[in-house]
Amino acid sequence: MYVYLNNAATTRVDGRVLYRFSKFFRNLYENPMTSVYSPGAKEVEAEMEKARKEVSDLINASRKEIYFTSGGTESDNWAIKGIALNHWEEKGEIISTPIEHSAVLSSLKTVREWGFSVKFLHVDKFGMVDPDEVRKLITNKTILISVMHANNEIGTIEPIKEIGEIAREKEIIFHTDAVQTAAHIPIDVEEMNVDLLSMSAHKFYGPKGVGALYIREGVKITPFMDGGHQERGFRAGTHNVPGIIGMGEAAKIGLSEMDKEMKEILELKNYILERFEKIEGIYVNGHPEKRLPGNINISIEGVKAETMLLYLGLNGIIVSAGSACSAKEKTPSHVLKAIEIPEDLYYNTIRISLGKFNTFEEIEYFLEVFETGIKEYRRIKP
Amino acid sequence: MSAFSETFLDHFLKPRNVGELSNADIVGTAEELEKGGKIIFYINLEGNKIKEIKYKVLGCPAAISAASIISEKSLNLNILEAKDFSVENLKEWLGEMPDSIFECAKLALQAFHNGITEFLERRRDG
Repeated sequence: MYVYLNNAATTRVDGRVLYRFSKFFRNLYENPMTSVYSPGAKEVEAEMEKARKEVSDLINASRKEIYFTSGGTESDNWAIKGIALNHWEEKGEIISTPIEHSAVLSSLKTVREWGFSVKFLHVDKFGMVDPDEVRKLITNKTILISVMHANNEIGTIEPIKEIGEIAREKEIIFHTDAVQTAAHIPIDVEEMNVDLLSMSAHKFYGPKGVGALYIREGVKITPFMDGGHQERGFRAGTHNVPGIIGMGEAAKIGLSEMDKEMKEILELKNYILERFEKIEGIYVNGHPEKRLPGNINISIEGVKAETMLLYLGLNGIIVSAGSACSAKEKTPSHVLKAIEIPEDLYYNTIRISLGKFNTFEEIEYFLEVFETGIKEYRRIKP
Repeated sequence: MSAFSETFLDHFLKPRNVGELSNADIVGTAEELEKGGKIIFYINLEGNKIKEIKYKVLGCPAAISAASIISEKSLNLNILEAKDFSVENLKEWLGEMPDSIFECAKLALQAFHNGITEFLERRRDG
């Protein structure tokens, strides 16, 4: 059996997505609207706009507020740097969190070097941000707030709506990295008062290499990619048409099947958690309720994460680790540090992220192997 | 798992000689505080021969495989030979692996050496 439980890292492409986008490799390969005289180009253009609408429907935005990018990383970079660049003269402050994805953190590091200042909110032991602290940190120099919708490691879902209300009240642009939540839990940019939102197709059963940045109409942002006039002059670069079409299909499926997916995944997850409760020394990280349906992050006493990863891997089960002691980066996960789990558990922490293709049979098998592995490797410890 | 040799994986899945020896002639410990690895070797001698060897290990796969293979290779060996087990020996026995993973294997060797060194010093002085 091959049991893939690393859906937070990437997902398998849904067969319907594959079916719909493959014709854009085979015959509908022209660039959209390159020429008003080409019926092929016109057709591609129409299909691309259809996909754009599907993506906008996912978050209750309007079609023209969706800008296609190469993925979540580019969207995050564009949001942070694009707003900063738009305030180049006066500089300013950005408020964010220490548990953001590295695409956001690295972009913040860069804009700091440009002369902007960055203030980090605290997160509690569940990785949750307090909206009141956002309010306290805002000054007349604040130009952007960026808080991720849900954390990729520990799954905690942040109070985006409450933060959005504060941002709206103070008239500050609010960005959220929704890479882990788009098409998995409901998102409504109107309800959430979000101005910028990043998403990435390969996290919701779409193809790799394509994502989007939602930019609320009226928000001023400097383009990140210069060149041709694609995306209404805001994001140059030949469109990844098959990717975009695939993203549209994945978004459409995600929206229509969201309730079913959430329910099924939650059932599997709760079953896993019930079994984990019977094992001593397993601690679940992240918020107990406000978390991504498919995310389980656990610290295990008495066994190193890499030992479990290899043991599970040799049995065909794929999960991931928060900090790999053999990783090239010698520092532990910034997320685990931020939620202050005991230091001796940094390298004992694994993440299991379920997806819509996981079955009960696979989970039973995983639990069997996991329980055996824990027993065996605890037996040999001093 | 193409990153690891069959020997490595075999020792990882079925570590040999796991256990403890009470009142052992030699106890060798090594700990890696940052990542949280710990290995303790227990050795009983008959003259200069390693008659019994056991260990307990909390660590990465490489630490486990290394502890297991060290225990296998040193059993019934003269302690004066076993003390010369080197990093090169480990590489040879366990096969190729990324450098960063090999670091964990060295912890097992360190524990083994710590025990033997301390014992030989004690014997020389006492």
